[in-house]
Amino acid sequence: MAEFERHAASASRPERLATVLSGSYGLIQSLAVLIALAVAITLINPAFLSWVNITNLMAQMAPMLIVAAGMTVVMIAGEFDISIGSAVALTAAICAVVTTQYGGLAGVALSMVVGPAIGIINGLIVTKGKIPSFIATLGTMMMARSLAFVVTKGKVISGLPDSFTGFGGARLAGIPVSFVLAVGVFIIGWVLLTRSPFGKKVYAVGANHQVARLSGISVDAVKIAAFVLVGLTASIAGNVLLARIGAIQADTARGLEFEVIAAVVIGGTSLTGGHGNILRTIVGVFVIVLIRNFMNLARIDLFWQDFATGLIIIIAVLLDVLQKRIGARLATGARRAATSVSPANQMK
Amino acid sequence: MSGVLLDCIQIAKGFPGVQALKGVDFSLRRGEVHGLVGANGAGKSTLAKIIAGYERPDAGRMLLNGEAVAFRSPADALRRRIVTVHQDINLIPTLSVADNIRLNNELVHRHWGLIRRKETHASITELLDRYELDVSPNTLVAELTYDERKMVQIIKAASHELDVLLLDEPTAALTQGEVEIVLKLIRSLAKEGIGIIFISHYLNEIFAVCDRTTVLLDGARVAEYQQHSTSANEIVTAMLGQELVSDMQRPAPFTAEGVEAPALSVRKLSVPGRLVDISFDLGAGEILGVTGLSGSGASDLARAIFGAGGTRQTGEFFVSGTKASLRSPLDSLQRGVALLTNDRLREGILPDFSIVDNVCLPRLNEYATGPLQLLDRPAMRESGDMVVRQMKVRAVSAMSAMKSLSGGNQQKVLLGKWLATTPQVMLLDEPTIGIDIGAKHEIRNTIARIASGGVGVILFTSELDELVQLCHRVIVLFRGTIVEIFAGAAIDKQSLLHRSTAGKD
Repeated sequence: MAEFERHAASASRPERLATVLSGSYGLIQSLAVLIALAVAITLINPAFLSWVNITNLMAQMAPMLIVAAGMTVVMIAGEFDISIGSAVALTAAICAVVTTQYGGLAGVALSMVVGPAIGIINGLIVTKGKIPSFIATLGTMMMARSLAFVVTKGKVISGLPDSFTGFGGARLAGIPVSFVLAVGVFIIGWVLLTRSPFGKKVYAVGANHQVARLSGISVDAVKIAAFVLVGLTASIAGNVLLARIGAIQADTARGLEFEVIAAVVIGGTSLTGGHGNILRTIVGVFVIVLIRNFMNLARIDLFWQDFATGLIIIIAVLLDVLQKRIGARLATGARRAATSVSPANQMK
Repeated sequence: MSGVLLDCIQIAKGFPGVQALKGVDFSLRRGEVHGLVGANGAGKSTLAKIIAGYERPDAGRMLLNGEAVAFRSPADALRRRIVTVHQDINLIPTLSVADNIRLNNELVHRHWGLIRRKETHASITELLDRYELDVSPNTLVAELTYDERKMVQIIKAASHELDVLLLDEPTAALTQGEVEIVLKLIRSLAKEGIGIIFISHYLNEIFAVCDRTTVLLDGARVAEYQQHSTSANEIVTAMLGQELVSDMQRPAPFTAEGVEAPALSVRKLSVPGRLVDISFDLGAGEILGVTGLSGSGASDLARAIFGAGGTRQTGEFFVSGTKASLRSPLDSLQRGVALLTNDRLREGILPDFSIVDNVCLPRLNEYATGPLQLLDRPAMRESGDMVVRQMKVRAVSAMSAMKSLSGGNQQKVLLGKWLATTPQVMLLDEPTIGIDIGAKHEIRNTIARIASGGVGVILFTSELDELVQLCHRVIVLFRGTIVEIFAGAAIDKQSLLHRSTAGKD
């Protein structure tokens, strides 16, 4: 037994190192990119570091952050949701139309149901209809967008009461309330994913749905719940967006889904599910927002911006894949070293 | 000798850690069907791979029509008219029968390089007629039944100019009636003068179709029989070698005294195409073995009981005397039925999860505490630690990732995971497959221990030693039906192997 203990101790060091490296390498790497970006932007325009600019960015990115939290859950469960841009628009459209007629309370209450309802539909199509989520949510994306046009009759809806738009400019200790709300969403998401039975099930379903099913987990229920959650974040984001802008048109948030998916992927969440850290998604969103800010400040032609963002997504995923390969090699190397030294240890 | 087509002389082949072939002689005549049998790991497939050019021998010579040959690739062997039909059906379902047969061997127009459709159609029709397969050349393979696909696969092989046809388990997934059709096709091919090597576990088929049979054991040829002058028993004895069965320890006889109802009763369980009318009882504290060749339905039976086998099954289950639907894994776990699957990597572990998370996966809801119903992580940790301790798992800690463990230790964790659900019925599908001797031993001890604690255990395995050492009774399955149930001292390797390979007499 003593020999075994010693063997275990000798094995632990390289193995632990490998675990720590593969666990935090991604975080370090994305933080490094983030800091490099911030430094580059500051060099081009020192005004970047001003409190006004920073709080502006916070308010701007809040809706995207909120949706990214929900998207992380769906992607860890091994699915996608590209209908969320439309869900944000439909939520905001319904909220605006109802608020102007029946008041803010009715508008918010009704619109908060929109996202979860789309989520249930997405979840049922994916699980019961066995249709890949990319296709299923492509369908609902188009349908929800169309409904947004129907609800707004294609016009800009404005004239919201001050009580409603006041929220958009509100500050808490100088920080935009919408950003505080987004941070709250992430804290809840983090607790849900790492500290609740549901979170473990989400990871298990994404890692291997067969293992999850054989362990008595209802795979369909977990996936539907994940779609409802991302729908819920879409509805929150829709309201936040509406409050900030004070007006809405059906075309709002077009393409948001791809920016959000890109942010989640840059944050290191696996495209095939089972892996991911919701806190790193925040870094992913920051990277996307800062790149846009950087290109604006550096006066890079607007038409080139999507090109650059696309390129960065590919590089980020490539780096992630490389890092996983290195991590796996370190882990097997450590295991091999551990097993090969064990007889020698036992001789002593 | 005249008529000798292929002559393998003292073929040897080693892989790291194992000498797969130790100087094997094997010959094949024109127009002959030569059976190749042996237990798992005896060297059948290595010999077949060498003949087909997939592997190169370390030593020995191969003569084809009296001329020395050395194949560097399967394409090499194909050029010398040696064609292999693999166990898996490798046809393209979305193409027609004719397209599949002519794939990469198309009849093309001399100048244009386009496919000559009329000639292709005519030649395929002629081919299908000759081998009496009643399908149209234009039928998509996806629309064919399983045996028709196997026929097409063999006919495709026969459409080449060939001397030697290598058939690897051609009947493995077929039903009895379908087997007859395929065997008939094999006989008619032999009549044309082709030499056929027939690898099979099914001794009755060996007797039905072969002229000669070579038996391999641990990489050596132990016997060669003329089919008309041997018996199934003789071949089974040769396959097992000289091993003494009586030396092995046996479990104490099982008595169901004092227990009112069986832990599990299965009544008339059928799964279309897999299992037919399976009924048996499992006592609390009993270890019941289930064995059979691959394709006999043992694995399907495990999944059908656990509710993981799809929705087309019929039959009834009773757990401790009361009816249970066992329609899904969740259902089964709630009724105290757990399954350790045979595919550790694909259906067992979550490699990136810790031991703790793997162990607690089926019981996550039990750990929800407090007003927010969050996970009680210290309690989960404790459960993981207990599994590590009780199952003697070699790991740095219970928080180690599953992927950092060896296969044997992963298997111990998985067994611990299911035992932590405190099952009344534990289904174990090949629990010691692909793990080292030490872990095997520990897992077998654990199986005996949990049974003596009153858990009913069904052990689905093809390892005869395991059945003899551990089981109170053994069910032998053959093509989806129970052929015999052995009990106590009647469980010996010879009879188990005989029943598994030959079915009913």
